[in-house]
Amino acid sequence: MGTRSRAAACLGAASIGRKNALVLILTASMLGGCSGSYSWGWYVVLPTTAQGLSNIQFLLSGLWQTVAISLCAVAISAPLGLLVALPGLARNRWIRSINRIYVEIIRSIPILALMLWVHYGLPILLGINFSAFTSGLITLIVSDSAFTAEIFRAGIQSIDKGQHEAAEALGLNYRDKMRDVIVPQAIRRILPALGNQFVYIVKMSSILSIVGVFELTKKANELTTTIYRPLEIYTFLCLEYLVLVLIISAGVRRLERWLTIDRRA
Amino acid sequence: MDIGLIARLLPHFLQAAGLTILISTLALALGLAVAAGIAAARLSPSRVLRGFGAAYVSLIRGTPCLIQLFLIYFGGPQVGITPGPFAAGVIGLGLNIAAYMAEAIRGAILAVDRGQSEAARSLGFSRGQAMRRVILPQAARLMIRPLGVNAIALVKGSSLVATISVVELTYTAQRLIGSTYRPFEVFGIAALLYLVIIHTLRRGIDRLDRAYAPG
Repeated sequence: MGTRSRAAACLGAASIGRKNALVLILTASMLGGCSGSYSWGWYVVLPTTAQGLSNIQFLLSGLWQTVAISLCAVAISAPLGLLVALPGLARNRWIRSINRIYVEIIRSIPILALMLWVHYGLPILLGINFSAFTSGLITLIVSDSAFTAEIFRAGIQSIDKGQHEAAEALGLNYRDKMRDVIVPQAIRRILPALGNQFVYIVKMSSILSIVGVFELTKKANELTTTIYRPLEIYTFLCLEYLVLVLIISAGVRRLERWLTIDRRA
Repeated sequence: MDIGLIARLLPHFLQAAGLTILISTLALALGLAVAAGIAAARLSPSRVLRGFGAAYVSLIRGTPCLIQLFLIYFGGPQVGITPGPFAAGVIGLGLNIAAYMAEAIRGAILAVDRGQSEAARSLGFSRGQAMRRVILPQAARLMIRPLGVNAIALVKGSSLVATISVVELTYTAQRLIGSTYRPFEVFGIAALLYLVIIHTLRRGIDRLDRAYAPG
């Protein structure tokens, strides 16, 4: 990690500001400019009127659930992904195939189908009912763990063989070698990918509205059924996600920059 | 596991799988066409076009696909466009995947060595000719894999159109579970069919990738 990647990170930070601004300006002008024959009803989400303000408050009240469920999901699925990734690095074919089968099957099932199975199928099989939040969380964790496992596997494989050899030469056992030498280096490298995966989770959490988790999308659906203004309400919803995603990607970029600075120097 | 039940449900599922494949194929065609345009815009010398391309990609990738579908299906009628569920599904999925595919295309074009375009230009090719005759053929084979990954994501994403009542695999599974109350068999078949579609697609991509691999 030399000056080149640092320079690249700085460049990225400088350009993202301008790009984000452009995106927001374009959206704003799109909303205001395209009048056509259609009479927009932006009053439904206008903070200056009492009704609009309460609508906005209603829409934003789902934010907590979206954020909470995404954070819970990523907090559990990242370690789980690492656990799934480890057998994928084994020399033994049979142990490796455990990882392959898990990853290939989970990655091939659409998250919506998986969620319906967890929410409506699993209770019939197990005889326990999950709350919408729980089954949503399980779905996100299971689905994400397969992707995270692949990210971890790639990251660990990218670590130079010499690091393994050096750790083994120092007499470290497998656990210590992984915990103290290999995984910390791998995490540095895969952090951008994990960040992207978090963005993906936040967006995917919108699907949980279908089983009735009261997150951002569910709130918008509810409001649409009381006030028939889907275009305005869903556009507002898009903006909510957009802001959320932009904040996360800015955070990831900052973390990345912080990590690329070599602290041993 | 009830084999008789599976046999009875299978025809419904095969029909639904056909619709999943059809909607994914149409969305893929639309997506590729739009993606080519967006990638061209992102690589164009014009600042306005570049800005438009970047904004499109950021907007689409920054918001959930489900909500884009809702916007088209529920929001469309408000402005006088009333797409059916199927059309809304194709348009929504196509416009969504286009943003991701545009990045794949752009990435592949940028991955072709600069020297290639410089060499072509110094041989007297125009910018367009250099792109068409020298850069694109080389970029095309670099695109196969990233575009393939997106195509797989598209097949899985097509399950979202179940929410706007297109009778594809996921919708069928959801409906049949309500009438049969046998989640294991019903979702088992659906998952298996997705696996078959995606596995076939993946093999096809691998084969294509090997056939056109550089060197």
